[in-house]
Amino acid sequence: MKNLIKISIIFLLIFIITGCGNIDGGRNSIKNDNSVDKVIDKQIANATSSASDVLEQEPIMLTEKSLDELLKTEKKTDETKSDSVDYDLTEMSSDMVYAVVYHMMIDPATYIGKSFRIEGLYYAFYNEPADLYHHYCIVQDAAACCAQGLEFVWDDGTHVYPDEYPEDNTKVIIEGTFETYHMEGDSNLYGRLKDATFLHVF
Amino acid sequence: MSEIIEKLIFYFQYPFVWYALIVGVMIALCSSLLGVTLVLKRFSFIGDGLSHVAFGAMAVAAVLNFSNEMYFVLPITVICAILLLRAGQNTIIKGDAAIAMISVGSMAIGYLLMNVFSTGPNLSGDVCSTLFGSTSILTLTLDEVILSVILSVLVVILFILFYNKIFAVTFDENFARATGTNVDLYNLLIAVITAVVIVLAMNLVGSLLVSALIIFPALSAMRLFKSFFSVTICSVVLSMLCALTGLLTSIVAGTPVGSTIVAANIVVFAIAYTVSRILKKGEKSEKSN
Repeated sequence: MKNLIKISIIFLLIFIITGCGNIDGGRNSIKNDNSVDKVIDKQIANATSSASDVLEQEPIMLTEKSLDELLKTEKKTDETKSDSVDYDLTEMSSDMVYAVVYHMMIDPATYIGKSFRIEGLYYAFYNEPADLYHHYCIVQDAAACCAQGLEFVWDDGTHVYPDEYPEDNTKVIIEGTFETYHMEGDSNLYGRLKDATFLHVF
Repeated sequence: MSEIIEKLIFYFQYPFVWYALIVGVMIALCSSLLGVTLVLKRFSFIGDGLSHVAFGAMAVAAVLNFSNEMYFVLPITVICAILLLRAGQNTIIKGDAAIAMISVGSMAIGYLLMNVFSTGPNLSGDVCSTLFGSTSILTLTLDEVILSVILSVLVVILFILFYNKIFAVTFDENFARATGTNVDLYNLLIAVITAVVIVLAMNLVGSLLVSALIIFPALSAMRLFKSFFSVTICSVVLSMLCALTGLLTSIVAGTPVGSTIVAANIVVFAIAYTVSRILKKGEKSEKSN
């Protein structure tokens, strides 16, 4: 009987404690962008975009000018592919590529001024506060669960996005020289490939 | 073949490949030393339970933004190892139930925390790399390498120093107690060493595959040898060979590191099992003649 009373009291206390919680405060402390929400949002976005694509039959993203330019670069690449770069990541296994890019981010000083050739998926990211697009070459490890993005600046950065760039998730090979930089009002150190060229767009 | 060798020579120019090999072999050495004791004590599954605890602790460390997660994960795992060992003795929740409870509980809480208080944009990547190791062994910094080597050397020294006592406690606790050995103390020591090895091994193969690193070399060695000493030595050699082969294969072929090392261990176990069967048949036919 005593045990029953004790258990009842414990249950009551638990109910009281949970009941007295500030619902709003709790909600605020939890981020809403958990994976379930993200997946649902992504599915909805995909469904909407594919439906609108069918209706509007939107044409290709690359303009003729940019496509020509890309193809020219590609030709140039074939001619110059034998030229040596300091780090040719296209010759490495996926584990090694991921590890090298990871170490570039952890210890950038070792890699500053070195030239890189890298194969990965092109991805553009819009930086809202700075009102500019950052362009990345994404590499994945063998398990395809870890991904690292290496930022690059195509030539002098004057190319227009999205007209001249490939679509997101396009497989590309790029080549450039590694440098570090600071964003205005941000103390973080970032790394990227400057004077980059598209060697190949798959 | 020459292509592979050329590729390996090329990869060895990178210091992090050397770090991975050094830490990988050290971890294999420690886990196999301990594996024989754990398998003989019927504690094979404690490794799995503790690795899940380490996963939970790692998630908490990530949420709290610790600079080096190991300083948080290690003490938590050691405490749980001691609790699990005590649970095996005389508490309300007994042995396997306690391991299962702490194991799945930590895993669930860890994933929940990582999901709700996600610190990075790639949640599935973070979880996947913690569970399967992925390439974490190739992304170790010099500080992490030094810490791993120090802990591994400590484990080896403790095992060598207390080899006789561990041997006694492993085979017959009652006899060891009767001869005046402080069995509880040595069980505690085994628990602490297990926790350290688990935390180290998570870097190599991830928390889901840690048990394989502890169990397979010991089981393979037991197929081939009978004495505690020879099984321990054989287990160490096999484990280090598998770790080295698995690591090099995964680096060259671009396969996931943890899974490749475990696959190498499975192959060695299959070979050891076949050899033991052939030897037994040979012995039987000799006896019948």
